[in-house]
Amino acid sequence: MLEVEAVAKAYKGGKYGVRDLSFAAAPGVLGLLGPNGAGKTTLMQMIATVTRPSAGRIRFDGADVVAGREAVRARLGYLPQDFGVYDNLSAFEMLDYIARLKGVRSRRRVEQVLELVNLHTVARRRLGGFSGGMRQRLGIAQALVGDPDLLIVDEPTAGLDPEERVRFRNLLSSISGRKLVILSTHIVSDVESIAGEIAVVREGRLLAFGTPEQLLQQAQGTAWEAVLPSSEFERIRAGLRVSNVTRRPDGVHLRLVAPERPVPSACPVEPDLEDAYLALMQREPAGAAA
Amino acid sequence: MRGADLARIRAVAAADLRARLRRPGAVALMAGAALAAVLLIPDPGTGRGLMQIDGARALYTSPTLALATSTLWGLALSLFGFYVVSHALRRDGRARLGTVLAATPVSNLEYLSGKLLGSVGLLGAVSCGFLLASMAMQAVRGEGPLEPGTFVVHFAVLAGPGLVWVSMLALVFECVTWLSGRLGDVAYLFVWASSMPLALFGWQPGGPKLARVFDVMGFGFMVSQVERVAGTGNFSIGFGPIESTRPPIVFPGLSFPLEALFARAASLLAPLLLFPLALLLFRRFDPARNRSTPGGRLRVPAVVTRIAGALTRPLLGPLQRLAPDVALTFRARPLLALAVPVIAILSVSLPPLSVRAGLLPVVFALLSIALADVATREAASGTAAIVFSTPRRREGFAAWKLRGATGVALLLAGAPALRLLAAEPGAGVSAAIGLLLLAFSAVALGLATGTPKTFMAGSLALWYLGLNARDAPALDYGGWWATATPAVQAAWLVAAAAAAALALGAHRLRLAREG
Repeated sequence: MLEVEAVAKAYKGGKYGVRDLSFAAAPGVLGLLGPNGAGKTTLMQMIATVTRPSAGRIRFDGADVVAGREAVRARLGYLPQDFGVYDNLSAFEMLDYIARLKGVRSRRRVEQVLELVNLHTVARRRLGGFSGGMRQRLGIAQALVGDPDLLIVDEPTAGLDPEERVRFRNLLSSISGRKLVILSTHIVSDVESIAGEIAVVREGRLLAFGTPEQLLQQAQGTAWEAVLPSSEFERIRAGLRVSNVTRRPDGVHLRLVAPERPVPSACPVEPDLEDAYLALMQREPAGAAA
Repeated sequence: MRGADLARIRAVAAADLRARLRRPGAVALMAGAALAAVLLIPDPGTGRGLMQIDGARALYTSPTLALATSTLWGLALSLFGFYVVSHALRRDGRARLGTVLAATPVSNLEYLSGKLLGSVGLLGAVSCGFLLASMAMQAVRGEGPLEPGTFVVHFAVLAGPGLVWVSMLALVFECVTWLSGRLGDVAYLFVWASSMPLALFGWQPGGPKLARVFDVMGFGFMVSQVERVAGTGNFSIGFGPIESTRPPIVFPGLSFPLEALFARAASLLAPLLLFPLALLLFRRFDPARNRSTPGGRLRVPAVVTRIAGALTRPLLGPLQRLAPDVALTFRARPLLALAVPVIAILSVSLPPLSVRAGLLPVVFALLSIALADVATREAASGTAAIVFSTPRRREGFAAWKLRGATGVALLLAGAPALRLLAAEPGAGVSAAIGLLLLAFSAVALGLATGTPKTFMAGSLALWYLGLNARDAPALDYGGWWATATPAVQAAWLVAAAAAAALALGAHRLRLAREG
């Protein structure tokens, strides 16, 4: 169980990366959604013991991530947003290095994880020649190699092709039984199918936390569909929050997010998670004026 | 220490060493060390030798060659070794691996110990290369039987402490925010230069024995031991002409009394006392703590940066349109931009002698800092592809950088050079050639080695030699002593031209490799 209690991260000059953020997450996949600059990375860095909270407390299975960071690190797998490698080591050497830092001595385990991310055939090749996607898969491998109870992955699907994305989602889903996986992204479809709980953050504050069903419930009455002539759409598009657009012979088919009917011809529809997320982004964060 | 701790230290050291040894620079370093051994031990038949005692050439026996090569290696290692192993921590940050390492159970003690061992290992490997090349030269040009044990003992006793010292100091410098960048590179030169008299002082009769601990390069120990064994202080070590008509002598070699060995052991272990300081100041890649000092550079207070920006805007605005690469150098370092008008004012207000012998050396040191990353910053910041995609920039990158570096050098050192051209034309010409030499070398070494450190180490070493070259006109490359003859000036000009050619050639080679 991960408990985040009134956590804040302040920087010099009075700026906040994260502010008064609280939630508790049980084993499973926790999707952390938010736009760029929302504070997702800062929050994950604090949970991953990379940086300390300025205020508040984070505990994993009772261990404080500041006071008991050694205990937390021993059970942690972390893939940062901008993961890099030593270009002149091979994939095996690089992964073996991280594995040893995590106390994993078994070369077999390293080979297993390379196989898991489909890099076993290029294990002896220098990383300098790897594509972005291959490096990202190695990043995922290093996060998994210690068989962590808490897996934190920050924008892990960036650079992966569609097939790899699906494969990675399935992988996370399969390992999340008794472990907690925190998956940060700004792409709703990445968490839609696998997250048991979702936290939505913006400007360092928590906008919503709950199961996908709860978020969908909150978004009831905010999703609309309409068909508009192209000329009218171009005229009023700046004032609309559009979640999807399809151009057809009869006009522009729109999916819109708004608390009230956005155009006279709009019909209410069942919201999906993308709509729910966009609806949340329209809200003021609680305490934002403080 | 627990078993797991040692395993982690070993893992950090092994990965660090492996990553560094596989870089092209390491191969060049090994080749350079081997070549140095070949060049240092000339054929006596050519009229040159390596060691002379009381006017007589010492025969090329193992004790002589071991002493001379290990002494010279200790000197070189203690200076250049720092620049070879520095920025080991920053490399992990730049490789975007820092936060991954920070989130593992590896402790700061284990990580820093591993990094220290990695640096010691790298320098040890290069030292072994030089040692083997020296022994090979003994086999080729020796005048006595090869004694490998003598070589190994001399290298261990004379150069060993320096190896630990530079590795430790590089680590400490990197953990101290304001020493972790270019300023630290310059500061180390002063640390190195000031350790030499201290080392000699400690081994003088009646000198404080505690000072012997600071004899990291083994120079004071060597001098005292040679004086004791040879019975004279009149000796020289180093590649040079044989000036004597006296017959060669056999130097019996150094003995290592227990007291001296204890002193060397203390020199070996003393640097480790600095380890707790590194441990205390290490930031463990915490992005919040690094945020205030991006790139590990000295943090200039925002108000100073704003004032410097406002004062230099009239200069940088037009410069941005005329020479954006030059403007970028100064925009990245606002205090450097502020130095331009200050240097210009001092150049016209000070007497010529003060400009030549006082201001110009300071300006040349500034040039080392300003020019170091001119050729490598695009690769380091990941903007090379963007720059190469602009018209004619890919093919003309080296020429563009040569122009940019010259522009930076002219802005910083142009005013004092012009003042000298008017007041002391000879020195003025040297100063102009010197600034071209630095500008072209910065681009050449940056493009050839891919790191600013090569230029930084080379230019600072040259600066130090130039500063102490009152009686050596050949080293007056910047006109600070006004002793360079036209032949010397021509030689430095040729060196500058060669550097420019190297820059163009290195870039052409890269383009050919990339296809």
